[in-house]
Amino acid sequence: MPTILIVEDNEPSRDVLARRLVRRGYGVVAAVDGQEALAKARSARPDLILMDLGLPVMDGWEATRRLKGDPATRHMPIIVLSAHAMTTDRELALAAGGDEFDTKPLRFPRLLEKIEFLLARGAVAK
Amino acid sequence: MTIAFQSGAGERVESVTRRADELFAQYRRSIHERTDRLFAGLMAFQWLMGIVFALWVSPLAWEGPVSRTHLHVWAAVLLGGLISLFPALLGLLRPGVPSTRYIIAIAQMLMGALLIHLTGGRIETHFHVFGSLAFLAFYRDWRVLIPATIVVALDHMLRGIFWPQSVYGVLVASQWRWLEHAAWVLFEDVFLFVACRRSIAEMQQTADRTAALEHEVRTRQQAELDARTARARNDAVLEVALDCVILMDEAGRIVQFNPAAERTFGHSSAEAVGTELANLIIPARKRASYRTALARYLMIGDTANFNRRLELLAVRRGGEEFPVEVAIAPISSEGAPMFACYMRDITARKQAERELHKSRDAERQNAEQLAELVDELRITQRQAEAATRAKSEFLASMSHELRTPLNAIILYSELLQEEASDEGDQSSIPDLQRIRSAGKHLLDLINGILDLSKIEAGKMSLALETFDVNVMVDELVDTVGPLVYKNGNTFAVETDGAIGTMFGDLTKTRQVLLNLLSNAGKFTRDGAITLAIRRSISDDALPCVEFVVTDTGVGMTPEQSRKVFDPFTQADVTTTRKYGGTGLGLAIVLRFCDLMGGTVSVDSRIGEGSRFTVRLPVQMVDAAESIPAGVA
Repeated sequence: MPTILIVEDNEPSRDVLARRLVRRGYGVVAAVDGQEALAKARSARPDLILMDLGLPVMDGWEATRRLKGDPATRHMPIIVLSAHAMTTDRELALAAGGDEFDTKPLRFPRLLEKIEFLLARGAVAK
Repeated sequence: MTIAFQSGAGERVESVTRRADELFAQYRRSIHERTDRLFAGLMAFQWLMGIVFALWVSPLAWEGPVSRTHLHVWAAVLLGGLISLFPALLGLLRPGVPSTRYIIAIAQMLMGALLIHLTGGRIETHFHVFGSLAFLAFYRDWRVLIPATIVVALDHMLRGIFWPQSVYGVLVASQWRWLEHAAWVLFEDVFLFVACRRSIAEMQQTADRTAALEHEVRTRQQAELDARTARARNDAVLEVALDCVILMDEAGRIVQFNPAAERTFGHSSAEAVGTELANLIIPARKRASYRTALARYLMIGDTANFNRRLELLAVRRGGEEFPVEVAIAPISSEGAPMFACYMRDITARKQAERELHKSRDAERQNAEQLAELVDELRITQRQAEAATRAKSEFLASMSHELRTPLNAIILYSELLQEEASDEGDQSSIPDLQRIRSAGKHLLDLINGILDLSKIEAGKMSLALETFDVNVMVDELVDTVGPLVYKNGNTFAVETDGAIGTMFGDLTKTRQVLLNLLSNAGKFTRDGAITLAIRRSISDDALPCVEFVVTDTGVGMTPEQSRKVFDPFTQADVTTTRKYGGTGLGLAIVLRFCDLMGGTVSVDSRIGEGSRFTVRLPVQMVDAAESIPAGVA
């Protein structure tokens, strides 16, 4: 089953998302800030990354840009998650290299659709 | 004055001379006429006297004892008549004419000759000649003496030579005797000539003097008339003057007090004249300074207080003080100095000035207050704007902070539900559903508030794109289906065939219709909900698409309809509890429609249902973008 890297600084959010994805059969790796996300992406080599924007140390935009700038990680699809429902967030996230965008609170079924879609696209590309 | 006198002098002399000549001519003519008439009488008298003499002195003298009417009587009657009649008539009918007096002079001397003859050359009768000359001198015209003298000389010469008895009363006489007579006549002529000349000169003098006198009298009369007219005019002017005019003498005593002054001060002219002005109309405490000013002028000619307008206090009869405008002017007149004092009661004007001042003050105050108010308003507005901005920012960040825990709540409740379901623990599932539902509701509220605050903060912009209306509606029906069908309602979409495409904000258009349809579903039970779509024309005559959402739900009163678009004012406070919803859906609908340049209206009846009509332009324009474009 694919492995998903969750980058989220809020502990309950990270925990509940991880548990729900595990229940769906995904492998889950977690990071609490952008810096850790870069390391985990290289070490765990996830199939997809869920990236929160408001992060300590290095924010989600910066982390996304670095991941997409690194040949080792640029193929990993990234779904950017934001608690800000502003359209600018969505545009900035996509501009930084995110493949998808979703707002919190997450509608889990919708998020699953996006995950499955991106993983399927990645599989086709491979 | 002096110049006028000089230029008038020549004229005056000429006119007087003319008048003197006229008077002189008049005197002379009058003397001539009078003397002519005198001679007319004298002629008649002499004729009679001639007859009397003829009868009395020599009636029978020439025929000795024969006594009968002598030839001389007849001669006296006939010749005397012959000589006298014509000149006497001339004297009566044509008096004053030069020929009359010459003829009279000749006739008078002929008459003398006749008398001398009739009296037989009596030497006494010769005195008639001298008398006649004296009489002729009455004419003051020495020229008449010439023919008279010639007649006497000729008569004496001819008769002395040819008939001495007739003229000298002797039969033989020296043939030169007439010369002696003529010399005596000439002797008298010299005196009469001098007398005539002197008399004429005197007459001329009298005429001159009379003319001068007349002129003098006339001039004086004219001057007096002028003076009287001027005085009358001045009096009339003072009489009708609206201002008080008071004339004073050097001691400040009133000389004239016009009716305006009488009216203003309440003193009659009779009372005022002779009184000192200061005592009559100047308040006691001001008198000293007034007198000082007057004295200063009289002593050193200080005119500081003269010939300019002053505002003083005056006092009326009865003691009322009031403001007056005063001008005092020294009058240059002959004799003692005088002053004219012009006064005007300015009580009304002062009052008006005060009022004006007051109203100006009030105006200024109003303006200041207004300015302060405007400043306050501006500050308030700035504060309000800052507050709105702060509120929007607060709401945005609050919404962010709320979403994170809400995210955990919803996801955990779902997780627990799944786990409970897996473990067959059905008992906790309803509670977990309630937690999730409450979390969802809170999320809807947060989203609604965020949308409204974004709109109010002006941060909401349009994402314009071209989309097919029918496609949008088909997708919408899929989404909204569960919401409208849930209460046993039917749902129908009525389209007028293919509507075509719109250039607009797809998300917001969808949001508007979603809100309206979910609303309809919420407030309708076992009823019918329809969405009708057609092309239309907006009130601004622009092509638009009309979306009409109709339900057969609870409906609203007109009162409720009016407030339905206000945030958090659902038709009834119990509504939220009964029907759910955030109370923000329609508020967002209205603001989105505004933002997109469209309109929304409601038509509702309580118990019958509601109809919401939305009109959106086919070609939307983003107001936020169009403004700078318009300016550029």
